[in-house]
Amino acid sequence: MSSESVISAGAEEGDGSTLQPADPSVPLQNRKLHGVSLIVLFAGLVSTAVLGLAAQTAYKRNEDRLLEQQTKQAAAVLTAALPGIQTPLAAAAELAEQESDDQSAFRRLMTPIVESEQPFVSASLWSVDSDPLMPVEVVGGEPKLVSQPPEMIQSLLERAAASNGLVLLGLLEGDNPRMGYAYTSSAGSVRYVAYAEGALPSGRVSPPRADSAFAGVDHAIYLGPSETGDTLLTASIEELPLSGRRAVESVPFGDSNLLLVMSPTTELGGHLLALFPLLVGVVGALSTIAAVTLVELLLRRRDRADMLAEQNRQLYANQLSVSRTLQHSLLPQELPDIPGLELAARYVPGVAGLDIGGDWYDVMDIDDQRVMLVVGDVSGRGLEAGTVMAQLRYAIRAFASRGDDPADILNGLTRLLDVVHDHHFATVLCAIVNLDQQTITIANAGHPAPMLLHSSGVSFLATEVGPPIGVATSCGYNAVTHEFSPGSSVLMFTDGVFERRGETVDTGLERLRESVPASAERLTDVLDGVLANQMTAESHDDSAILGVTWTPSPTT
Amino acid sequence: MDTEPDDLTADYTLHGDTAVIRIVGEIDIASRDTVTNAARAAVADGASSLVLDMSEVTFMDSSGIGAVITTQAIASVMLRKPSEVVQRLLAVTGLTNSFTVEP
Repeated sequence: MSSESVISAGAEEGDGSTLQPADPSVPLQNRKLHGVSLIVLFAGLVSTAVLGLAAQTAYKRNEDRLLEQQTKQAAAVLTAALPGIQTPLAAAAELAEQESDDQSAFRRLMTPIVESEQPFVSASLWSVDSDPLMPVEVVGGEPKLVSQPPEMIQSLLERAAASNGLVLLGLLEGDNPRMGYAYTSSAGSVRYVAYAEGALPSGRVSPPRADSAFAGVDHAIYLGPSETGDTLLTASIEELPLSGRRAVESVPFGDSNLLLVMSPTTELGGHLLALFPLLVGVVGALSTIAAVTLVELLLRRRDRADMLAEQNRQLYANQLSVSRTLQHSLLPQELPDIPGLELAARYVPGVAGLDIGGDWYDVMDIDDQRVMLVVGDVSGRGLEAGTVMAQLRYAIRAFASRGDDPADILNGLTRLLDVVHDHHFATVLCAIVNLDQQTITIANAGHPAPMLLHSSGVSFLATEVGPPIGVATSCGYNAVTHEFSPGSSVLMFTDGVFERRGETVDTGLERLRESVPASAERLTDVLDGVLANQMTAESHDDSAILGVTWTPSPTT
Repeated sequence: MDTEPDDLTADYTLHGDTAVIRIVGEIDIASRDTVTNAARAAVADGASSLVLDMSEVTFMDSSGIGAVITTQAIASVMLRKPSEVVQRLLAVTGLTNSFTVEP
């Protein structure tokens, strides 16, 4: 006693009123960088910084090593200068001890040395116990030692006598600063001290020779262990102490030490090496910028693609919704309520596209005894197919209401459609149930035959199949009448219900027959069972199914 | 539509004003356009009637029937040696008498 009109799952999806396509003129996004781009930027900068620091460290280490090497070389040069000073004095001291009466030999020995001013500008011979403290013999200019306090002279002479090597007096200040060296013979009791003074550069500043061990660096040489102004012997520049990168080397010199301090004036490893850290930084920064730009570009392109995809999806959903709505409006909104009959229908849109499908079903109560059931399928899809479908549906209703039987109805339809002109044809199954006679009369225009469900099983009802409506035919349609008794059901359907790709029509129909639930209380359960068994994810075609059950009613 | 119709070929040869279209393979929703396109090409080539050689059609569904019916809208159509599957589908869809089969 119930009637149902069901647009099945999928028909209602997408509410057209709420779906608006995104406006393409709206800017894609603000100009903020993506998170991934920021990570790339951060990673790039960190890598660049690390590489730059590493390059800088390598550069510094290299410079330190080179400076250290050069300082050692310079120290070796200083050490090598020691014999040049020590040897003449040692010889003079020996000579003085042996020739204590006549010191002309001392004069002869030292004169050429002093005249060349290398390494001495003044040489003198002192008696250890002389009184007053005056030199025994002088060659060259007067020793500055003479003008020193007597205690200092005495101290030097005693130091020299106690030592058996070169003794350094240190700095003798004045217009031309000098350095004093003393030496005594190492043999027996000492009576004489050979003394000489070497000139220090005026102002103690002397630029190094370009090819010497001091080239390319600033240097300062101090007497003794510390860098103080009054112990400075010579330096290449006036700004002291030397600052920046520097190396220090202590060189034993006589009974004292020379302190050699060096600092590079230029990059010892060359300019290119000095630029290397900078190069690393610049290249790293440029690479980072390039990488970030590329990543950002790709990400924005992806965003744009995502946005377009979303727009398309919404447009599609909109269009789909419009199609579904139109399709819905072309199908019966509800099936008539007919005493003694249970009616149900299902319509499932295919996945093939968003166009309107051509499948339809219809039920019409012609009079108290007769109920018409129609299922049809217009070829093709789209608005045109939908229009043909609506046209046929209402033409059938018109023919039925004037009393045509199913065969007459189909014959009437042939005048309405011609595939040659309309490019569409339609298969139609038209049945009229006569409640008085307990029969169902069926005419078929190229449509799959209906199924009869009754107590003894499920079978296809034989029909006389004519060509689809729209295909030229010389002979008319003929109807076949079957017994239709209370307790039986008839299912009418379109090919989308059973057709699968690659499967013959007979295989599909047989599978459909077997898919009918053996026992179901209600017709709707039968329809849902059939669809659940038949429909696959790749069902590309629309599917419509209409069922009628003659309910065994106690009142009739 | 879904896949490339590489399982169907439809080549025509002209004999006067009749084109014989030899259809080999499966006619379904994916390949139906191949058939109608061949029919249109043959007509454009001067054919006024078509002979569809369907002896090598191995499979056909309702989409395929649709394609064969559509060729009727292009030119007059005659079928040659429809295979078992074709004959069965023509019978199911009531089309057996709608097409002239070559004697």
